[in-house]
Amino acid sequence: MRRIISLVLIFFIIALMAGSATEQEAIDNVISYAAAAAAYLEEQGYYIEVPENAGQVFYLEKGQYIKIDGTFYSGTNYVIVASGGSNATDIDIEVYDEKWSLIFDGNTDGIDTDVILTPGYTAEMHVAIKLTATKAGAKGAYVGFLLFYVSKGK
Amino acid sequence: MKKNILLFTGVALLLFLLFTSCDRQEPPPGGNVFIQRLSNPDEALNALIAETNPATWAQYRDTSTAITTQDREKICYHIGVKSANALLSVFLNDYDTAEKISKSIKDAANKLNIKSDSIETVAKELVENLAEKDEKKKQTKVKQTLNTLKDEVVKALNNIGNESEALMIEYGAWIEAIRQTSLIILDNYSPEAASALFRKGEAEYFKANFGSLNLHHPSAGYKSQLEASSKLLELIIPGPDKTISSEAVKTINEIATQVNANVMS
Repeated sequence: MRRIISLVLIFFIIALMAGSATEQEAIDNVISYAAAAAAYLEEQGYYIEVPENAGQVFYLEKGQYIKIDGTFYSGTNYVIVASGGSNATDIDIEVYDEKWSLIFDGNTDGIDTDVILTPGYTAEMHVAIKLTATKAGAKGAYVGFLLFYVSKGK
Repeated sequence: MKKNILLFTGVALLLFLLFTSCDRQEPPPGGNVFIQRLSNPDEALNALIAETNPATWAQYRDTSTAITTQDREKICYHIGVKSANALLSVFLNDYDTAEKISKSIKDAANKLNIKSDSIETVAKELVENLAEKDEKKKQTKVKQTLNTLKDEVVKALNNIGNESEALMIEYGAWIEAIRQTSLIILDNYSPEAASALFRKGEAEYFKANFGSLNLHHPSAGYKSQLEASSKLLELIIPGPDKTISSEAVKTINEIATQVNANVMS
C-alpha cells in the first residue's frame, strides 16, 4: 500500500514539474523581466510608455525565432525585452537593418535578454528573438517578448 | 483490499492524466513567427521634431470631433483618424482638443456596442493623466493613454470577431498619420524629414489584409483601400538615393487626402 501511495505521489510531482513549462510561465517571466528593466530605466530618469498588446508569447522549437518587422523612428527609444519558459535555456535578440545587415547582436547567456534601440535615422528594421538553446530533451519552449517606449525626462 | 488499491490507483491515474492535460498545454506546431509592427502616429511626429518646429503643426490638424455616420466600418475609420489628431494636439500642448477628441472616440466605441471595461478604465486614466503636473510626464502619459484607447477598441473588435472593423481603425490612424506627416514634410522638405514616411512593411500589411478581405467579401470599399495601399507601397520605399523625393511626398499626401475624403464622406 505504501509503495502505491509513493508511486502516486511521484506521479503528481512529475505532473507538477511538467506543468511548470507552460505558456503562462513564459508570460510571467517576460513581465517580471520587463518590470525589472522598466524600474532600472525609471531610476535612470526615463519615462516608460507601454503600449497595449505590446507583448506576445509563442511556442518555438530550438533554433527558431520571432521576427518583428517595422519602421523604427529616430527620436523614439524602443525597448524590447524577451524571456521564456523553463524549457528554454538561452534566448538571444538580433537586430538587422533594412538590408539584413546585422546591427546588434545580443548574444548573451540565459533566457532574459533585452535591447534598447535608439535609431539615429528612421528606417525599417528586423528584430529577431531566437530560441538558441533548450533543456536537454526539450524540443522547444515558449518564448515571449514585450516592446515598449522610453523617453528621457527633464 | 486489492480492490481498494486498484480503485485508488485508477482514480490517481485519472487525476494525473487530467492534471497534466490541463496544465501542460499542447503547444501549437513550432515555426518561425513573423510579426508586422504597426507604428503609432506619434512616432513619426517624434522623428519630425528635429526637422521642423512643432508649434507650426496646428495647420495640419483636423480638430473635428463629430462622427455622424451610421456605417460601422466608417465609424471605425473615423476612430483611427481622430486618434491621430488627438496625438497631434498633444504635440501642440492643446490638451483640451485632445480630451474632446478622445471623448468622441469613446462615444464612437459605444455606438459600436462594444462592451469593454478596459475602455472605461483607459478613459479614467486619461482624465488622471491630463491632471499630471510634470509637463514632460503629462505629454508622455497622455500620448500613451490615447494610443491605448485606440488599441483597446481594436482589441475589443477583434475579440468579437469583427477583424475588418478593427483593421479600419488601424488603417484610419495610419492614413491620417501619413496625411499629417507628408504635409509637414512638404512644407519643410529635406531627405531626412522624408524618411518619416518609410513604411513599406506597413503598406504591405494593409495591402495583404485588404486584398484578403476583397477576395472573400468583394466590395468597392475594400477594392479602393487595396488600390490605395498598393499605390502608397510603391511610393514609400526609398529610391536608389535612399530618399523619398518631394514630388513623391506630394503624391503620397494626395493619396492619403483622397482616401480620407472617400471613406469619411
